[in-house]
Amino acid sequence: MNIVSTYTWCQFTPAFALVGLAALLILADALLPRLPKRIYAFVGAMGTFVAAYFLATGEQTDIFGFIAAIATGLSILLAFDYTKISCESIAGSGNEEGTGEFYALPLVACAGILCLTQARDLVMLFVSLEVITLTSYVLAGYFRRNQGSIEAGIKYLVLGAMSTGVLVYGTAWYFGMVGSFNLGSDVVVSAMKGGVAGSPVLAFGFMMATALLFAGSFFKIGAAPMHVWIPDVYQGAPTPTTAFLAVASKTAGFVVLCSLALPFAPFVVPGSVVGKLLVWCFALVAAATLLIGNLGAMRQTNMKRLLGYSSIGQAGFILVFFLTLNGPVVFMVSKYLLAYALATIAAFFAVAMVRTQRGSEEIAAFRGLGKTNPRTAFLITVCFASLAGVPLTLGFLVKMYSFVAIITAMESWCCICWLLPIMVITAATGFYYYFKVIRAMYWEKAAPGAQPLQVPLCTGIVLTICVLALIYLGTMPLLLQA
Amino acid sequence: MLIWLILVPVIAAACIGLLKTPGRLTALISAAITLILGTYAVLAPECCSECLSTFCGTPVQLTLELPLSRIMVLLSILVTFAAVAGMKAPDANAERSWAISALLISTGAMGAFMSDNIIAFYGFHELALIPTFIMIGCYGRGDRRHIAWTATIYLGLASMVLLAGLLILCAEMHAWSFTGLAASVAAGIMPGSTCLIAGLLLVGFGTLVSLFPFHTWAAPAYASAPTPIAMLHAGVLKKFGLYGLFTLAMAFGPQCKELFGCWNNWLLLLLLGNVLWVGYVTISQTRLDDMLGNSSVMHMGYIFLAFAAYISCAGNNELAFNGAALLMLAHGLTIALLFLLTGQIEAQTRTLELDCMGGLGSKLPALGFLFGLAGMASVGLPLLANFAGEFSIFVSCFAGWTPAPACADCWLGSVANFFGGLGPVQLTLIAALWGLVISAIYMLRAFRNIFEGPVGAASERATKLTTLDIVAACFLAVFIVLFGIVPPTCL
Repeated sequence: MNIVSTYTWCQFTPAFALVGLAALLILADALLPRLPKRIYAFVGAMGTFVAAYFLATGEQTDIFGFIAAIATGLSILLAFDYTKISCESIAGSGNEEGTGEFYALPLVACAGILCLTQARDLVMLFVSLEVITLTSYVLAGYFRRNQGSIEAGIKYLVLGAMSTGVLVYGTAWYFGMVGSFNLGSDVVVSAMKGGVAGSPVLAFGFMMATALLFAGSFFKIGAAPMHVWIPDVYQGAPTPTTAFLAVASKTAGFVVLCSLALPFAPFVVPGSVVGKLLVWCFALVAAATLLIGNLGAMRQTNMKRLLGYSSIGQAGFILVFFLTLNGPVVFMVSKYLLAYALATIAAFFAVAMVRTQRGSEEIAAFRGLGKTNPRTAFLITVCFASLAGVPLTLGFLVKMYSFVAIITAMESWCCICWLLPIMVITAATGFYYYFKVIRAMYWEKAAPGAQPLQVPLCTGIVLTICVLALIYLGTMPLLLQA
Repeated sequence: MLIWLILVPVIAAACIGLLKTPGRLTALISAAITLILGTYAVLAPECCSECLSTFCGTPVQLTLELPLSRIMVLLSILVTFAAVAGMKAPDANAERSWAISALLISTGAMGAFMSDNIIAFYGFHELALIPTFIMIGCYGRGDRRHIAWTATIYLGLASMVLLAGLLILCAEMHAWSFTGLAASVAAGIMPGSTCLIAGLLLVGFGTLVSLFPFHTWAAPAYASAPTPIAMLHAGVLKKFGLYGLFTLAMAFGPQCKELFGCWNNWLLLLLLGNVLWVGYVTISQTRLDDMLGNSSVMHMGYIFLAFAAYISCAGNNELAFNGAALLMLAHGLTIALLFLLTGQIEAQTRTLELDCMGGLGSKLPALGFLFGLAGMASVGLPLLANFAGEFSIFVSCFAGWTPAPACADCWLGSVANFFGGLGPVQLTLIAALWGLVISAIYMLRAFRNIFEGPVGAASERATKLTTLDIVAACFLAVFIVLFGIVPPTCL
């Protein structure tokens, strides 16, 4: 048995290309200090979009990689619109000194995600994950003149390091029990059928390894009880970084979880003890994540914190797909992530726009948008409606798939039927807190003297494209011949 | 062709929103087109079914072949036209948003009533709810934000419960459309957890139709909503829940008793809450809009009674089905007309307090006549549409009943024997008949307070109705009389 998997170079071409582009940009930043930094943002974003194009149309389509690349590109474009705040918070004097790397670093993280989607063993998985997290630590604390950003950076670093430790520890246990870093159904099956099943010590060790590895990946996706870092880090980190963490980094987390969980698919059949254990574990984590994310979001007044809790809640709905491990998990998870990514990125663009022009990230800053900017308000409404799961948007379809998944799972595992009422209640709370934003835009009066927002070109384009995609993908199954 | 019934209002709404065309005129043109198209489709439904695509392995089909579709589409096009024609917005901006919302609500309702696919059926209804919330929150009377917020939370939660019920039902029956469900039932498949599914469906649909005790959102929302929104929601959109229950029961045929039977006695108890409890609440209202909102909640009890009678006869009760269909149509037209006239009364007198008005009949006799007609229809006067519906329902409660004493092997049987062998449905009917008296009390009192007696201070302000006001109101009144004399049947 090979200890690690073998890879071909061409699997990593997009990743290498992105790292090369990032290196070029950093070099240019050092050698051409007078070049406007916005060019870096533009070039970087275009680079990720080209990579996304090849990932979507190349020989091996990589849907997770595609979502991550698009999300990274959009968060770099968001940084492009956020230059005013970046300059204030980095150099302090309003000039662009030292902001160049802020546009180049997400490319490195994105390369990490692209490697991660190719990983078939724990070593590759761990190394790629570290590329992402190390870059994210820097990005979260990048606004060095902003106390919130520094606090977010430190919190993320400490908790992230702990989760890395857990993951390494789990990897060590895995290697000790199985004798290989390979993540494959055959490895797990032969381990379970051979030594592990025969010896209680090995069985315990393998369970320990699995638990630790899952715990490490739960940190990345923000599943309870490893969710505590999310609200603070999301609130404190620079908005473009938050967008990256909320979408691209979360996609990476689900890639890890998929790679770890899918080898266990043959065991998720009625009557299997391991299957029952796994299903209970996922059901409990999903329930806790749903409750904490959705109930926690109800009291929030800060938009970035609200979106943080929302990202926990949505992760709960994605976790439900893992109850049907022998079904089309990867397809469903990627579809849900796509719906989540489109709506969340657009929401962050709106938050950044309001922050730049009204100086606040509170929900209250959105007041009166329905009167002053009716078209923008409508676009934002569609995004939040999709997050809440209103029909004829993609958000509804994927939430419905999540309900179908639990109902399918209930046919084999009656014992988890208590999850359904939790999903119903949490989906309904979603209506409450996402509609708080819509309510602020339409029902509340704007603060006296509030000017209509000037919608930056990028924000306008991205919002429109995201909304069109949400509606098109949400109605396409209804309107087009499948 | 049915797709145009949905596309025309959407295109009109887009024109108003993006091209800033005049709100009321564009909406009126769109409503007139759908009125013509819809009338043609209702009269010749065979040529109109069309398959749009497949989804979840089931065709997404717009059809008028479901038993209740035609009558509900008829209701939608009539009320939409009247709502748009009688619209009186405070300014041009408000007029545009009102027109867009009215068109979207009508689209959603029409789409739901024509969908064979259950997911599309659910989705269209949700789409129609959003403009309702936004309009109440933006332009409502009274404590509008609180009221809109309450309605949003109630209906959001109800929708999720309903979605869970529908998905479990569809997953267990392996069918995602009403016709597919009927085929599965015919093939002998029944869902395993009938009690759970029926409970979820009754709570979900029940909250949407304001079944007691899930009704508290409804009356304030109708009282607060702008006139066209109140007309469309109370008149058309609310019938979605009853439409869903009846269509599912039809799909299950004789097996509907197995599905809903375990909750039937509870349903009887709750609908008595609608008729009697909410009836008394209605009597104690001092504002016209509050009174009408509550009265609309109260009358839903009778349609639920028809549903209970239909279930207790295991679907072998055509009279209950026809009565419910007719009452849905009649109630939709009546309550829409009443809300329309309320809007006109408020525009004339600038108040809706029943005690401040009086003598309006001598100033505006046409308004008085129309309100009297609608009020009498709502009470259930013969020759007006509601009477035929209510009477059919009352008679249908005795369908299949014979005056043989029930066996006395349990206490329920002994109680039934004591009442001469009457079953729960019959006993509920007898109690619910009191509701007729209640509605007569509040409706006649409201009429007296507003239109009779010496001319009150508020009535002094009344000037003159515009032609369009009278046309919109007469349009609905004509159909109330017409359907009272020639009741349409759908079976």
